[in-house]
Parts: sequence; C-alpha cells; structure tokens
Amino acid sequence: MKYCSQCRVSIENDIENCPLCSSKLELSDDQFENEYPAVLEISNRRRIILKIILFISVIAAGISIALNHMNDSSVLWSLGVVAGLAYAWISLISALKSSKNIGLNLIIQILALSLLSAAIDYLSGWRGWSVNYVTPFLMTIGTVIITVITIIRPMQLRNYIVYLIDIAVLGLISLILIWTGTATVKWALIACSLYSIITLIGMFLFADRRARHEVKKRFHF
Amino acid sequence: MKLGKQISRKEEFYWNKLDNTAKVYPAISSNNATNVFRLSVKLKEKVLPDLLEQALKNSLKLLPAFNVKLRRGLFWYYFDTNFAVPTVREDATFPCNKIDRFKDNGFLFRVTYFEKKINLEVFHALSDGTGAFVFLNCLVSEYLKLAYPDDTPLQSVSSIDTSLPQSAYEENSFLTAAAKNASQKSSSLSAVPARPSSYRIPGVSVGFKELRVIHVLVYSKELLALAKEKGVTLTVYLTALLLLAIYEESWKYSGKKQPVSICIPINLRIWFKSNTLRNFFTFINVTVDFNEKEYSFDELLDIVSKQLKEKITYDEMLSKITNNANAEKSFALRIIPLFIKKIGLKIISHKTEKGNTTTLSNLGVLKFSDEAKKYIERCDVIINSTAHQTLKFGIACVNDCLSLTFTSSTEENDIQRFFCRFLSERSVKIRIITN
Repeated sequence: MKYCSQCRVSIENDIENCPLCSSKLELSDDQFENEYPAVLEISNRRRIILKIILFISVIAAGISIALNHMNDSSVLWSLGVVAGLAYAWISLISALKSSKNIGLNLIIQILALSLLSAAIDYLSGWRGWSVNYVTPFLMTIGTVIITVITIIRPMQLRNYIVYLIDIAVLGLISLILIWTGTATVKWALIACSLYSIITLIGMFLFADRRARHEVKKRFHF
Repeated sequence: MKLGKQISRKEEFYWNKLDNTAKVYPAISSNNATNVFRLSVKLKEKVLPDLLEQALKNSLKLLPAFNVKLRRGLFWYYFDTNFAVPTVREDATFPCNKIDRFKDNGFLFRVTYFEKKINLEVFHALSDGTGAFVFLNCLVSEYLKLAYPDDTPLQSVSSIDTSLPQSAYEENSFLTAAAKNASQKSSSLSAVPARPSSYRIPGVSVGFKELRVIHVLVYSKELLALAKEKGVTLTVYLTALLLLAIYEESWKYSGKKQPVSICIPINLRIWFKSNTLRNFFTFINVTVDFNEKEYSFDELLDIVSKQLKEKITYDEMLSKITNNANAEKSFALRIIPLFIKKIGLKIISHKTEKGNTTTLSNLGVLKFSDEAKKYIERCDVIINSTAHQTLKFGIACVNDCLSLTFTSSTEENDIQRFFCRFLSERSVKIRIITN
C-alpha cells in the first residue's frame, strides 16, 4: 500500500505518483491489489484496414472521374467504376454486419447487384437485360437459398422467414417494372414473383406455428 | 447452432418486448456512449474460471430473463431466447465497452473475471442497476456454492426468490404501474421535457474505448456520521460535495456560464411494488446555477435537500411513469418503422444527455445473503462516460465498505482530488484503487 501525504489517502496500486495530485507516493506496506489488467493501446486493426481501403477507393474513383472528363469521351465510363466501387463497399459492410445470419446480406446483395447491373446496362446503351433477366434471376436464387437453409437447418426458420417475406414483397414491387414498361420481358419477373409467393405459402402451411410466431414478433407494435 | 440439441418448446416460443426505457437504448448506443454499466464483486480469494462459467449457466437457467438475444423487428426491437452457450473471459480491456449484438454469442451482458474480481457488464436495454444486481447475486451465490461445497449453510441458501413467477421478473412495470393508477391524469409534461444545456466538464479525451476508473473506498460508518452531523442523507451529502467539487475545480475557471446539473436515477421499485428485472427507474435532476452565487458547501446541502424533497414525491413519480407509458402506447409513435424511429430517438437522447453535467447512481446497500457476505470483500458500480457527461459517479455498499467510483473519459483528475481531500480533511480514512 502506498500513501500520499498531500491528499492523505492510501493507494492500493503499485504506482510511483498519486493519481489525484501526481506527487510522489510513500511506501506504507508491501501489500498491493491488482484489480485491473494492464491494457496496451487498443489497436483497432479492422478500422485501420477499412480506412485504408476507403482511401484507395476514393483515389480510384477520383482518378477515373477526372480521366473520363479530361478525355472528353461521350461514354460516361467513370460511372461504371464508381458503381463497381460502391457495390464492393456495400458488399463489404453488409458482410461485416451480418455475421452468422446471411438473410439481410442476401437482400442487400439482391438490391445492390440489381442496381449495379442496371448501371452497366445503362452505360452500354440500355438493352434491358438487367431488369428483364438479372433481377428476377437474383430474387429466385435468393428464395432458393433460403429454402435450402430452412430445410437443412429447420431451427434457422425463425431467422429467415422475415427475409423470405422481404423477397416476396420485392418480387411484387418489381412487377411495377412491367407496368411502367421498363421491363419488356414479362415471363421472368412474373415467374419469380410467383415462385417466392408459393414458397412463402408453403412455409406457412408446413411450419405454420413457427412462421406465424416469427411474423408476430417481427411485426409487433 | 447445435444440431440435435434438445430445445424445449418453452424456450423456442419465448419472446419478450423491450420495456419502456429499454426501447431507446439499442437505437442510441455507440462506441462513445455505450450504455453499458458494470457491477463488480471483489471476493476474498482468486476466482476459478471453470466454476464461474458453470455458475453462469446455472444462473441463466434460474433467470431466463437474461438468457435473451436482441432482435430487430419492423417497428421495435424485441427479445428472443438465446440458444448459444455463455462463456466467461478474463478481463483484458477497459470497462464498459460496447456490447455488440453479434459478439459475445448474442448475449446482452458480459461476465469477466480478473484475479479476485467477478465483473458483470450489462447493456442497459436488458436491465437497470437493481435488476442487474439480482442477476449478480444469483451468479455470485451459484459460484460460491460451487467453490465452497463444504459450507452447508451456504448450500442451502436459495440464489433467487423462488416464490416469484418468471412474469414477475419480466414485467414492464411502467405499463402495469400506470394502469393500476389509471385515475391519475397525466400532467402536461411531455415524456421528454426540454431542458437547457448544462455545463460540460472539459478535459483532454482519453483514447478510443478507454475509461479511467478511480474507486474511492471509505468506511460507511465514517461517511454516514459526517452526513448525520449535517442532518442530511448520504445521497444529499455526496451530491452536494460533487457539485462543490465541479464548481471549485472546473466551473470557476471555465468561462462558460451554464448551470451544473446532476442526474440522479431513482429506483421506482420502492415506490411501486415490483420485482421486475427490466428497467424501472426515472431520473431526477438537481440543478445549481453558480452564476447567481458562489454557494458554500452548507448552502449546497440546503439546495440539494430542497430539490430532492420537491422532486421525489409519489405524485411526481407517478406522473413520470404515466407520461412514459402514454408515450409507449401512442399509436402514432408505434406505427413509425424502426429505422426512422432510430433517428428520432438519437436526436432526443442526445438532447437529454446534454441536459446533465454528470450522473450520480446510488445503488445503496447491496443485499447479498449473510452466508455469501462472508466471502465478499466489496462491490463496485462502474458507469460508462459519454461525450457530454465526461465524469460519472457510482455508489455501492457491502459489508460496511462504501465504494464511490468515479469514471472519467478525460485525463484530468482534479474533481476527484478535491472530493477526496475534502473527505480526508474531515478525518475520513480513504483507500484508492485505479485502473
């Protein structure tokens, strides 16, 4: 135990100077208490790596935009670079935040890849393949993945039901693309919406107690 | 995910809404304002990690209210059973780090050990100080039973009050108290009264995720004698002393003229009978404007006494509970999706934080069983600091050892020095432990 004669307090840590007034401590006995670990500077390596990647992305985006405009070309190709970088970032952040439950990551990937393919489609003269084929294909794959997971691991149903509902809703919303004329090929979008709705109905028929319980929890207010 | 592990139907279909104040915390917690507090028990002998882990598993079976995972719904967060295995780790970093929804196997608490200490860190959405103490008591009791199997009186003591049903432990007491006293008309105060910005104690910020802890240990008899001499309670005495210390060591030299405001959480379980483990407390603010006068210590004692007397009454508590309950039940609020609510909650909580200079949290005498007290040296409560409230103060007492804990996110220790010298000048024997 040490003693500070200025503050008139005993200090149980084995330190040289008083934590309150910084004056030198006297030794009163050799019983010391160690209650806290000696912590070194907290290195948040993940944060540093993310900052480096962000910096490189900003440089790459900046250079590509500058080059695009310096060359005065008619094709806005820098948009493709920026869209690609944005997609990479969204993927990275989503993967970091999802950990064991990939449901949210799945939804975000469906949306991000659809947008990326739409950007590439637009840059290459808009032939419509992004909304006609890529988007329904992604949604179908998402539904299939969730179905497989819930068959192999039935306990995961409670985690994935809500994402299945999300995909079904996305499927229905994407039918607007047909209505507005953006998508010219009807069968793909309609088929994928139908498939996700049938899967949803199947879940409620065969796992009805769990499914209803999960919906009640997620949508309670 | 363990395939083949038998999960009972009760566990599978268990779920719980968050209680009134808890609905806010997941939306606003961040690395700078973690909303995590720590209850630490120092035993007389070194902690054995395997026994501690087994004790934790036993405690979670006894109190399933803590065996939960935080999940996100469309309108609110909620609790689900956590099927993961709880673990204990050696304390390796600063106290009160953020409790991530994904780390720690999804649990909203963290049990660590170091030498003779058992630390329980709890995210405020799960429980408040009193509720966390019930769990800590259970954990320590189970651990001591495993560590000292020959102590027969200890083995026969029950770790929890087994006469209570689980729903008593999980009650949203704000709603039940408001409903029971439904004749009370809610006052015109909104649930979040607008308060002016309070003085912020400045200083050089510590590093990322760091927290400076100073435990000031005194004999409760000596401090109670001082308070009695002045004719006030211990809380009043310490609040006034804290105000004086902030004035003398910080406000005087700052050039800023905002009032100094201390936030004191009040446990409502004493006023409205409840055994819930969830949050059931409200805040009282003691505000002093030093612009008017350089108050002396005795004058501060008077001011604090008066303010506490005015603000801690049954009617005041009830009107706050009713306001909270009404806010929770308002349809307009409920129907807003969570991601929009989060933004609103962040703004409101930021304003509330700025309304106070610091927080003084008095858990009082912690009621461990007599058989367990033999093995316990003392107990501390450590509260996280935030960007505006850079200093916080926690009080806990066991076995006549009163532990006053300062937690600070600045490097300076002037207020703590003034506090300790004030007491040591009045012949109080003080021991200090820091991290």
